[in-house]
Amino acid sequence: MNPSDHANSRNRRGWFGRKHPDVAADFGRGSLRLLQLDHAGAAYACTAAAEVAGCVLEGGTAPTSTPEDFGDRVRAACAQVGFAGREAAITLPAECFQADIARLPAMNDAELSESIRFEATDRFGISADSASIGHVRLGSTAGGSNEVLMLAVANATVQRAAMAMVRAGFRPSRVEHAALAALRAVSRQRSSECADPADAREFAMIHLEDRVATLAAVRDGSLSFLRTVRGDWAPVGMTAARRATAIRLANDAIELEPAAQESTAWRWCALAEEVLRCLRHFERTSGGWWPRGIAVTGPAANDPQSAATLESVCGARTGLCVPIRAIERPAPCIHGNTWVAAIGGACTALRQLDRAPRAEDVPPQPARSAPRTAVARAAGTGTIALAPEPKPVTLTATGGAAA
Amino acid sequence: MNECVVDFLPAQLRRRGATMTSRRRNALLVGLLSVMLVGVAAHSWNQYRAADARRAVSMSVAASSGKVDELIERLAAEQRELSRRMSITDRLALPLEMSDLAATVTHLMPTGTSLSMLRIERAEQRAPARAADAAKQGPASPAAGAKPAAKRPERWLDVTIRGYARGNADLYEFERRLSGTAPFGQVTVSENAPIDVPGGHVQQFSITCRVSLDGRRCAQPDAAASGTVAHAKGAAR
Repeated sequence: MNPSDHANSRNRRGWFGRKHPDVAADFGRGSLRLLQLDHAGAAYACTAAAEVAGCVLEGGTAPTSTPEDFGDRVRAACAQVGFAGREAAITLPAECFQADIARLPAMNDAELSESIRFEATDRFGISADSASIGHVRLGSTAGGSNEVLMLAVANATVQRAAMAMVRAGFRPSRVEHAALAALRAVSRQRSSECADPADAREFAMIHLEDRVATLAAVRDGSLSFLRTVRGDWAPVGMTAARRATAIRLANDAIELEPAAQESTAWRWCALAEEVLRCLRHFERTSGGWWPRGIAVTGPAANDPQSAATLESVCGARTGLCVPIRAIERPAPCIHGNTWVAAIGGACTALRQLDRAPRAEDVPPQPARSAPRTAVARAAGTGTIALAPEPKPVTLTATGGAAA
Repeated sequence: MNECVVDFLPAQLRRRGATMTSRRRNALLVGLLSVMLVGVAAHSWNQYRAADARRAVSMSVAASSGKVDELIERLAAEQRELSRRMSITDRLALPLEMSDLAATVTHLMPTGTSLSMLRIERAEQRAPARAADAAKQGPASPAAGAKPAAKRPERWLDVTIRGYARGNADLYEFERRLSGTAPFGQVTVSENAPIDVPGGHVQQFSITCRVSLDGRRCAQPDAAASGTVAHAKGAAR
């Protein structure tokens, strides 16, 4: 479904049609994040937000619940929060998807859908009846052929998430890739905040989940490249004391303990090297394009070292997203990059943010071959926001206190 | 920024959601219809109750109207009976006592006059009702519009006084007194003849007069008459 179809469906509102923005339901590995946004002047306002501990998907950190049990818990949680409307936009974690880029001849949408269907079943080794297959035309065109991003997710996974939401009293309106939803939120935020509009149209985003990191490259305002990198990106060891140390580092430029620094640095180095290879590949295929900045977001994007390592390796200005800046009167629970996919899912039907460029106190853009000693300097710039300690269950209504 | 929305919601779930929405819409419509139906039914029931109450009141009024008519009819009959009795009383009862009348006559007689006969006769004259007389009464009279007013019969007492007087002077004095005293009217000396008696002659006379009985029913005689009668009574004592 393309955006115009979504706009048409939004316009077809009858007597009992949808009157409220969708409630974003971001299924994570350990919790479900529910968020509803609305317009508030130049920014978005948080209508209601809730986080329900538990997982209905296979392979989560929390014990897997049945859709019925989890739906009942979600219903009980939502009863205490003032969500308006029943439409739910579901985002599933990237680890539930299979993604690949295919180069196909130029063809119309109907033919492309059929071609993608056959191509996806061939490449992913899945049955067309047991999976939902989607595709995105990427921006680059070479030699009369198009690059198309193929995405596939098992129907069983979608069914479990959808049934849980139905059980909770919602009606699923769409199911999205979490990284693509996060890309929407990041793009809107950058379009609003970046002083140079080119920074909002030429950038890369890394969506970090516990097991999958998704690299998306946005060229000329369009998604042009997407690659998933599997690995262990979970914020292991990010305890409250460790996080407090990192916050002091961000504020006072205090060096991390060497042992703690080494325990997680290897992961970000491996990720950065893989991202660098992907960017170099895309640089070759796109005629020398390189991102003007890299935004790091996602549920696992809590470690400032990840941004620092990526910046030093890839040679592009890198920072953790601060999506909360786009929301007025945010609920206390929605701070941090964990909620960026939910924000992207909730803002789909809302208009773009107004322009509000921020004068950031950032150092000049380092060279692509910047040494890794820039880690401490980048971490001490003060532009990095850290998420609070995750809570098992957080229920927050607009204007209310966190439960 | 060209935002891409890739929807992975299977068509089956989408149809199910649409079906749920349709059912919800239908349930809302049915609920709304039910509420309206209940409202209309409640309103109709209230209207029925109010109409039934009004009908009960009307029935009660209709049931009691017979008794009212009967009462009105009974009262009307009683009124007619009383009117008839009053009419009889008017016809039979005299407005003044015969003794008072006789006392007045004797009181008015001069000293040299004697009474040989006093006859009092009741008389009346029933005049025929005339349309002109009824029209003269006008619409103010409610009975006039119903039927022509019956002419009340004119009633009076014919009083015939016979006696003897020493002379014509006493006779005419007596006639003058009678004429000037109520309720006597139309005083006429019908006979006046001298009669020889030992040692002279006297005048034998006969005087007729009329005492009207109309307008005196249930009313006290006027002051002069009552005074005359009272005086006559006192003189008689």
